[in-house]
This record gives sequence, C-alpha cells and structure tokens, in this order.
Amino acid sequence: MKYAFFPGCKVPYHVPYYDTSARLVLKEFGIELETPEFNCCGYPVRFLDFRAFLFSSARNLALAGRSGLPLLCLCKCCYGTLRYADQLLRNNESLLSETNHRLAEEGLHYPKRPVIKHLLNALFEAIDPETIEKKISRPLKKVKVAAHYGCHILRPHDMVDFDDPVNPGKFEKLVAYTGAESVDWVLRKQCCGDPLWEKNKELSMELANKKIADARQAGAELMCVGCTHCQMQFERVQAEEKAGTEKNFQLPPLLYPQLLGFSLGLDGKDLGISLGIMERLSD
Amino acid sequence: MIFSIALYLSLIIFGLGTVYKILIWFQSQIGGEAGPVSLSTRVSAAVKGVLQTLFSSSLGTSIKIFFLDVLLQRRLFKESRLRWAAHMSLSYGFILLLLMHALDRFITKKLFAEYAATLNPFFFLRNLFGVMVLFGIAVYVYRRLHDRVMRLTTRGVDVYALIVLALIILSGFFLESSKMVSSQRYEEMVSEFSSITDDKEAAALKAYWAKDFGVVFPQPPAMDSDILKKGQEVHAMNCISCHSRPNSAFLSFGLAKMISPIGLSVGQKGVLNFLWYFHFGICFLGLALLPFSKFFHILTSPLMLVINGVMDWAKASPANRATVRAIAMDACTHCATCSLHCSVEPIYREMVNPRILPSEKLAAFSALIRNKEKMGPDLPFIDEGDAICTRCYRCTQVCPVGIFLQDLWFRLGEDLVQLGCPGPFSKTRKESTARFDWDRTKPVAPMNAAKKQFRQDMGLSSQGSTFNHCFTCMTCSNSCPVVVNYENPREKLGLLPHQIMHSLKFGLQDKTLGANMVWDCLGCYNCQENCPQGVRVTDILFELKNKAFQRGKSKDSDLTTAGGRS
Repeated sequence: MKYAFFPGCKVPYHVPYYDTSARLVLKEFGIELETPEFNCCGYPVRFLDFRAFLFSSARNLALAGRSGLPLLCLCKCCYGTLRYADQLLRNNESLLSETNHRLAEEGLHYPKRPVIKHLLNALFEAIDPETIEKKISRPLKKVKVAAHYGCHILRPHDMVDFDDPVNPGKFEKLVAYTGAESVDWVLRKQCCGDPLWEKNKELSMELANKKIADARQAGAELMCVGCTHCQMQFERVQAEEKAGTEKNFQLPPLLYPQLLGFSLGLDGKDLGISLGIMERLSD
Repeated sequence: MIFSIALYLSLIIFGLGTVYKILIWFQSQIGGEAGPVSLSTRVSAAVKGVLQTLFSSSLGTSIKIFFLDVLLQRRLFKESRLRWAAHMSLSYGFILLLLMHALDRFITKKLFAEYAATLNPFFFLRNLFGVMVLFGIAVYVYRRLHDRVMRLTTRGVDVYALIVLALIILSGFFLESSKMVSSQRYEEMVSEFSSITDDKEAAALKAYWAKDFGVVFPQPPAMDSDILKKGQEVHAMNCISCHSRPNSAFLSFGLAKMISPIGLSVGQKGVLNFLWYFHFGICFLGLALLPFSKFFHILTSPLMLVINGVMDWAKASPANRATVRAIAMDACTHCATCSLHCSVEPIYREMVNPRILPSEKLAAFSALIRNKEKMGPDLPFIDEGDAICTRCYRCTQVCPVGIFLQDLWFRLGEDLVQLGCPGPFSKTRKESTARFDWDRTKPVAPMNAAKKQFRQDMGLSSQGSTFNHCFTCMTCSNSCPVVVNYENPREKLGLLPHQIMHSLKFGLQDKTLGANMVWDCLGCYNCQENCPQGVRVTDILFELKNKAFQRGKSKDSDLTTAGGRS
C-alpha cells in the first residue's frame, strides 16, 4: 500500500516526532509514502475566508489526485477539513467548476473520487488482528491509557469516516493491540480545547484540564492521541499548569504511533518518546 | 582623473554604507528577550561567539559550509538545478570579470607579463564571463516574468539589481564592439603603437583590419589578395603581440558585425568615450550603493550561512540572537524561494494580501523595525499575514541563505501584539461583540430588506441555509461542551447555538455575529452531529465568523438599518 503523505503544517516544527514515529510504524506494516509538496489544508482560515479554505483543501486533493495515491493525514483537523471540502465539492457543481477553473491555472484538476484517510484509518486497515500479537514484542501490559478520539475523526459522521460517532471503539481496539489497557472515561470524545488556545486561552485550558482530570479519575496514566493539535494542546496545557517539565505532567500525552511503535519493539528514542514516558512504558 | 575620483568616491560610500549597516546589526532590537542591551555588550557577545567558533570543532563545520553552501551553493542546487546553474554562472562570471578585467592592472598584469585585454585567452574569456553573467540574468528575468509567485513578489530592489547588472555587462559588450568598428580608434592605435611609415604598408594594414578585424573606414580600403597578404605581414610585425583575432571575442565581434552599417557613427571618439564613462559609471554606482541594494547579500549571505550552520540557537545569548536577526534582514536576497514553497500561498490567491507571503512579510517586518510609525496603513495586512502563517517551518528549511525565518515569525508575532494588533480573529470578535445589544426593552425592528438579504446570503458552504429547519429543540446547545462548561452560559455566551439558529430566521445580524458563542465555538461538531433536523450548526457558526470578517473588511460595513434591535 502506498499513500501520499500529508503531515500537516504543525508537524515539522512543533511535533516532529509525530512524523518520524508515523513513518517508522507505517514501514513496519509495509506501507510506503510519497511526499508531494502539499499546502495548508485550509483549516486555520475556515473562520476567516470560506473560499481560501476551500481552495487550499481542493489544491491538496488535486495534488494527491495527480500522484494517483490516496492521501494520508496525521492531523485530525487536516483530515476533517479535507473530507469536508471534498464533500462540499462533490455535492456542489458550481463550487466544483469554480475550483477547477482556479486549479487549471497551474495544470491541476479536482480528482473524481479522492481517497482521504487518517493515520488511524490506515493502521486499522493495515493491522491484521489475527497476527498482530506476534508482532508485538514489547506488550505494554501494565499501562493504562486514555484513548482520546479527537473531534474531526468522528464528527460530522456524514463527512468523515472512521467510527460510530456515538459509541466508537476502534481507537480502543488499536490501543489494545499494543497490550495496553484503555480506561473507560466520560469525556473521551470531547474536544481538547486546542481551537481556542490563541482565541480564548482560559476556556481552552479549562476544557483540556477537565479532560485530563476525567481520564485521571478513570485510572489512566497516559493520554493516547492521534492528532497533532490534540498532542500540542495536552503538552502545553500541562507545561503551563506545572510550569515545568514533562515529569510533572499529570497525564502525559503520547501519540498512537509512538505507543504502537514502542510495543512493536522499535527504539523509543527514534520514536521521539521522552525518557519519563519510556520509564512508565517499560515498568 | 575622473576615473580615480569616481572610484575612490564610490569606494568610500561603499565603505561607509557597510559600516553603517554593521552598526545597525548591533543596534537593532529584534526580539526583546533581553531588553535593551548596550552596543558594547552586543559587540563583545558577538566577538566571543566568533572566537568560540574559531577555537572549537565548529571551525571545521564553518569551513565545510563555506565550501559547500557558499562556494558551491548547495542549498540552491537542492532547490532548483536551473536556478543553481544561473546563479553559479552569474556569480562566477561576475567575480572572474572583476578579477581578470576590472582589476587587470592589479591582478592579471601582475600574473601575466604579456597581458593585453585584446589578447587571448583574455580576449575570449572576457566574452565568456560576460555571457555567463548574461545567461544568469536571462534566467532570472525569465523567472520573474514567467512564474506567478515571482511576478507578484518582484519589487524595485529586484529590478534595480537586474538592470544594473545587465547595464554593466551590455555596456561592456557595446563598448568593445564599438571599439572594434572604430576607424578613429584604429588610427589612434596605429600612430601610437606601430612603426609604419610607408603609405603602402598603412593601406595594406587598413585593408587587413577592415577585412578580418571588422574596422569600418570612411573610405573602404582597396582589397586584393596581395594587399591583404601584405597587410597580414604588417600586422604580424606591429599588432600581433597585443591583438588576437577578434572572433575569439565571439559576442563582441558578432555585435561589431551587426553594427558595422552604422560603424562610422558608433566608432566616433565621442561615442566610445560615452560608452566608456557609462560602463564604469554604472559599475561605480553599483559599488557605491551595494550596501543598500540586494547585492549586499554577496557579503551577508555567506555570513548568514555560516552562522546558521554553527550557531546553537537555544544556547546563544539573547544579545547574539538579536544581532543575527538583524543580519538576517540584510542577508535576505528577496529570491522568493520561501514564497514559492509557502504552505499558505494558495490562501494568498484568495485573500490577495501580499503580506501572507513570507518574502513580502519579511520585507514588511524589516521596514517595521526601521520605522514603527510609518507602518500604520500596512499594519492590518501584516497582522493578517502573520495570523495566517501556520509556522510550518518550510520557509526556514528552503531558504537558500539559511535564514532562521521561523524565529523571525515568532518575533514578528510578539511585536504585533505590542503594537496593538491582536490578529484578525480578536479584532473581528471585538468589533462584532461590541454591536451585540443586550437591551431587551427596545422594540424589535420589523423585517426589512437588509435583514432579508442577510438571511438570504447565508449559505456560503451551500449548507448555511439549513438553519431554516431548526425547531429549537435545544439539542445543539445541550451537547455543546462550551455551553456545558458554564454555570450561566447565556451570560457568557450571549446566545446559545439554538438561539443563534432561530435568530437567523429573523435576519438578526448584529445579534448573531455579536454573540460570544460564535467566537467561542470550538468547531467540534457536537451540535451538528446531534441535530435531529440536520441543521449544519457548526458550519453556520463558521460562516457567521466569515460574515463578520467580511463586514470588518468592507468599508461600508453598516449593512443593517438603524433603529431598533437588529
């Protein structure tokens, strides 16, 4: 299987270990990546300018279309945005022809049926539940994890495609492959608060802290996430609260490919897992 | 005399300009981490940093970088083979012309005793180097005309640089070819350097030079094979030690052939003098203004590349960081590589604010540092550009001169906050919520054209109009994590989602755009997901923000009619 890799803007500088760990893990499952030069998905300007958002998304999908490959996102906000744009374009002829007109200026055109997947989709499809146990050389038996879904992989369910928006279970299943235990917590499907970080920090922190407290109460030691923005949010909220290092974090966030990679026996350092978390995982 | 005065004058201006620029490096405060630091602290920190580099393993790194990135221009090679070829050709062509031709008295003559400008290999090489520069210029002009991003980022500095370079080289070629056809010049040379006394010999040499060297005489000399043979002998006696055959100077000689019909006019002493003054005048102009033009990158780019390669940004002192940032402003060649790769360039195409593009944003930042007061009208554009930048790091990764642009964007963001620019979101939020009217005692204004229009216009996403299906069951509000977060949500949020949907049916613009709910929406889609009527609640809240933003942008922002609540 081969994908056009869409790491998203926040990954290269803010969360580079998402990129490295995802690549390492995908390789383990024989998934190859091509890296066309994509642009911003458009998510950051959705509130500002609908057309700018739509064109940004469309251009990415046209680039993926040109490579003839399905697109693989790391960030759920990118994922949700691209899926949303695709739905709009496919159901609105005038928007589509207008977009195609603009794309044609650089020799691109909107593909017929773009395939857009998130890393979790791709892994869920690539992992064979029958044989995965054999691959897990370092089962994380004692680790209790809060699987944090992230909004845009679940909602709106008619736009995105991962799991049942009301009672999802795929992420917990993915976590279970690593040997770790997923705790049952109330706020697992709720927003991490990231979208308001620069807009209403107080509210943003409150929402994140609520989630952290809820997951802690359910017995979690780690928050497992599959989204760049969620990861950033849980990192900085706790860094701000504790004004210190990750050691003081109440609930350190860990990206799913890091968790899976570690259980597959990959080097924690290569996966970008901090020493503190590595200790917890190796206990 | 004039030559020497002009040379020294331009050297002095160049020197002073460079000193001035360096002083600015040590004085400019980009990034206020350390607060104001004295000039001496800045200089000593820089000296310390340089010494530390010289006496550590970083020295090897800097040498390697100098070789690969400065001399061989590796970063440009990775970016584009064509651009690399053009830049290598241009820069080496120019450097070699400078050394071999412009400084021939000091260099070439010293190295080669028999040196004469019209003797091979110099005769040929000068043309070759000139053509190399012209090739570079041609590629650059082509790119700036042909590529969309290059076209829209091209500014005066770029045009100036290309014109100055082109004028230097072209005037050189024209001067050389005019000299070739000039009979006056020929006569001068003959009387000065030859030992010809015999008229027959003189006529023979004339014929020979007219035929093989392209000189255009007022009366074309008689030519037959005997005369020419004789001419060749005279040439061998008198001229050959300084004059190779002109076709070695392939471009100049070609030009000479082309202008031979007007050879008599362009060969006049006055024309030659003019071209000569023009040629060196433009060279000296370029030299004098070098520190203030993009040619300054000849000095600053290598410096920047080496600094970028050896400096540990995290460990560097705030004083040095500030200095390096100032150097970066001068190291930018405005090549627009950053803008070509910019992640949000497609957003530029829709929003048409040049400050979205990194190369243009950097120029604005540079101007902002020089003069904060003057930037007034440009500030909202810089602010928007800064807000749209996703800090994706790509510009830093592709910059051919190794500028740490990411850091500059963070500093720009800080400066903008200090200048009272909160970004388009906060600005629009403030403007919109200020118009939210809490007073319920006022009579509701009846439906009017403006309200109808507002209601009708909802539907950007082709789904905005779904608010019409709302039957106010409040599921959206009850499933909203923001609403749930507050004990008294209406006080905090103005209107709850279901109230916004309902208000839209009445076209209440100020109420809907001004509700804090719109601005505190996470976009998490809980409301939309749960709506039993299929109302695109979240999408509508996004659209309302779009509307508010558009309203803020358009000058005649007051779409609603006065009187009553709207």
